[in-house]
Amino acid sequence: MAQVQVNTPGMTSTTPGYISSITVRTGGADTVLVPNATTGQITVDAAAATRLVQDYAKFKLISG
Amino acid sequence: MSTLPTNLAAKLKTLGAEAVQPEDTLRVYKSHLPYCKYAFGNGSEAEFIKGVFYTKKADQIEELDTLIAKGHPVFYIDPNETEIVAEDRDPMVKMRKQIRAEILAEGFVKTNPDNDMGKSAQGPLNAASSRDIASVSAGGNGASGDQMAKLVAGLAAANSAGKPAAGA
Repeated sequence: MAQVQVNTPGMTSTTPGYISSITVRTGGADTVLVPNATTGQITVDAAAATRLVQDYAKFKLISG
Repeated sequence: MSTLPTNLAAKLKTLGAEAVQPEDTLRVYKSHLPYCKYAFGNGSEAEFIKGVFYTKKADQIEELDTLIAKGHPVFYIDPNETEIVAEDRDPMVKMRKQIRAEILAEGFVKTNPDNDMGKSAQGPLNAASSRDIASVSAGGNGASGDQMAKLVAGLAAANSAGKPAAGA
């Protein structure tokens, strides 16, 4: 599994542009992921992480 | 007058209504999304199924409580259901326990010798007004509508038999 940062760490949920949930195809299913409130990260499989960081410049691959 | 003893719960327990020993209680967290996953700081995941997640892990409870206290947009605590006995997560088990407790409570109230309801028999109905005497004497309930219904029925029967109605 890989960690992808979708929100800036420390970003509050009331900040405009905050991603409160994101639906990603991972592990063979569409999964609604809620980013960690502190780190702004979500956990997805390697293929999904690769695709996300390639397609969306805002997202960062943290591990995996 | 029926009275419930203040220690009903304790008495029911002795009757077996709550034959369950102290069980694991889980904290209940809810989500506005019907199904979602949340990754905790330590790498573990919370899986909200049908918008509900149960946990008894202290670190997860602490993290979710902190999030919710800060006004998380997705997760919340339902004030009507903050904790649940692990076994009660199965709605059928929960419903069975509830029904069993209700039946035992009902039986306890009926068999409680302290609840003396007294004995009485239904006596003959007395007419409250002279207007109702005819109806009550005929076995009616004394309501004027009842009497009218009987008169109308009698008139209809007389008409169908071809006899002139009384007073016609």
